[in-house]
Amino acid sequence: MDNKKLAVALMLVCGLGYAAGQATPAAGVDGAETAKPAGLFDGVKSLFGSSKGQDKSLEKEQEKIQEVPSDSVFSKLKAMVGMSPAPGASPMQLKAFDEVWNVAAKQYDPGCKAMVEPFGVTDSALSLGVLAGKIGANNFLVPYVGGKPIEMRDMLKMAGKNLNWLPMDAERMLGEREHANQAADLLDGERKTDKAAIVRAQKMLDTLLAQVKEETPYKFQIFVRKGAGNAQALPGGYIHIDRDLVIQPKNEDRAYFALAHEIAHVLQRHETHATQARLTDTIDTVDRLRKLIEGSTSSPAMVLGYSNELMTRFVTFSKAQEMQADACAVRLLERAMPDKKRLSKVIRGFQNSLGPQLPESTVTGLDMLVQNVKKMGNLDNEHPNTRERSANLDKMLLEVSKPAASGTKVARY
Amino acid sequence: MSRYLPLLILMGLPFTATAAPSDCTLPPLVQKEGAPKTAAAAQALRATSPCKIVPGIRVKALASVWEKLLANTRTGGRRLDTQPPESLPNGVALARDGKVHFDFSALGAEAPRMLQISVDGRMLVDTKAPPRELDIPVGRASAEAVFSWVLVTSAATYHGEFTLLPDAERREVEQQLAQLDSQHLEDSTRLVYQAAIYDEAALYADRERILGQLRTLLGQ
Repeated sequence: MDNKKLAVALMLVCGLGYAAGQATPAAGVDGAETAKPAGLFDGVKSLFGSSKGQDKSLEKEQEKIQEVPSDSVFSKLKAMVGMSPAPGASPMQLKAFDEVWNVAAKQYDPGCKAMVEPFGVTDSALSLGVLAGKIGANNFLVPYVGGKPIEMRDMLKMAGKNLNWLPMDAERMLGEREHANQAADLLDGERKTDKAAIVRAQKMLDTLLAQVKEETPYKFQIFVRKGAGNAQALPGGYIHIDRDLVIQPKNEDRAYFALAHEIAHVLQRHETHATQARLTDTIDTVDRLRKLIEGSTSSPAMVLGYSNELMTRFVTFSKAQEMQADACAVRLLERAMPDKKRLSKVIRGFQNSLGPQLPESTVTGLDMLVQNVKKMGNLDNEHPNTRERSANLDKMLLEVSKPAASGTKVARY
Repeated sequence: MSRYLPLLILMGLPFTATAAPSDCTLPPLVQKEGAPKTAAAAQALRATSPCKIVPGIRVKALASVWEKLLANTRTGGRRLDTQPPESLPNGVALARDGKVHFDFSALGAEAPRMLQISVDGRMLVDTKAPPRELDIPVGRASAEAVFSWVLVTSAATYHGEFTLLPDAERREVEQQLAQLDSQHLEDSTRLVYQAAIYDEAALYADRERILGQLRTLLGQ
């Protein structure tokens, strides 16, 4: 291919990225980034995958598992011009095309720069338009720069996993159903002590919600669960907190952190994304499973390999959501607790309550299969290890503890 | 008006009297299709009078335990921390004969690889080969002593923390259990009552252990 054609191709690609950045400054494909005017260079960076602000360990983990279509036009262009993300580059406005290829590539900002994930259908429609445009450009350029055209099915899968297409009513219904399934585990408030626990939980929730200044479509409801030490968020705004966290004054700090963490899960629509991803992935998974069963080359090793691949994708997805919820919790607590010492005490207390930092277990063979089967039935229970989680909390605490420079307006999220 | 007050009270008495028996009668219980053993257990349970079998137990607690028995175990949602198996002591635990019971049978194919239990930082158990069940002697530890445990299995790492049920509450639970033992009841009915006693005392791990036995009994 001659240089002139390459230049034309690059201009087209850059222009598209620029136009897209202007069209949906706040939404992006994943909608997680903050609104900033996109310049031409930002458009180029978004296409070539700048990822400033992403936790290094997560970045590495995701790099390992991304199913980047290595022969897409963008990958080829990237290789040809030898361009890599510039150090210190500004955050993307839109997710790069090859970074939203599968569920694992869904990027969650571990710094929680935006507290509320977009929930409007308009954002998704615009983002879908941008994706369609990118794929159109890819297919247009294939004859000039080589590579494979991208099929509509792939585009729809990509969109299905990364856009907020599940309507809010459906999200509420999903939460309502999961909540009803757990009714037996919730305190009824008939007994005096139970009633006091419920009142206290409501008060703590109200304190935190008063700090969510952004517009949200949620009507949060809190329930006290018969359990210890944990809390849970369901789609649509249902929060369950364990009894001991709200009846014992010594657990107050953990209760505040737990509630802030769960509010974040709801505002970031984490469970909804997981549902969307599962629905979208089923198309691919069922197809592959059928091939696996029917294929003449089927063997235990293949089954294990397949289960490993699925696990890597979903577990990483789940863990990234937890990191983001922790970060958003710190931001929300910072708003609710102007006293930095108190804030630090709450965060440190939570870090200390995390499990011990044990070496990662190296399981193989049958144990690995048992582990995968177990996790498949319980994907929502996956959390990052203590070291990763604690390090992210340290980073967040440091960030929110920095005094604002004189004359600088403090950013409120 | 005030001179009619005694009369009004007297008129209200029959309503109070009719309301009381409902606290001693179980409401219709949730059923599971195609589960004859469960249906029979529900029938046997409804035939009992909670007020007579374990005085003080709430009908709501029995109904809630029954609902929990039939609820879907997959809960969904996003949690603050990895949820340990429900049958392991967490929150408050009951020391019976000076021991706290650990039952790992709910882990299924997930093999325990390491268990550490400590109290206020002092190690009590540290083993790489935990048995399927274990009684931890806690002696006369106070209700303020905090027991922590870490369990590593072939699938995950769990951790939990518990304190002992205070003496007065422990005695009450033991009395209720003794009262229950003195009755002639169907096995399934006895287990539901036992689970409800634990549920009311916030002994959720014990409740879950009993529900596990009940599920096995009913072939669920």
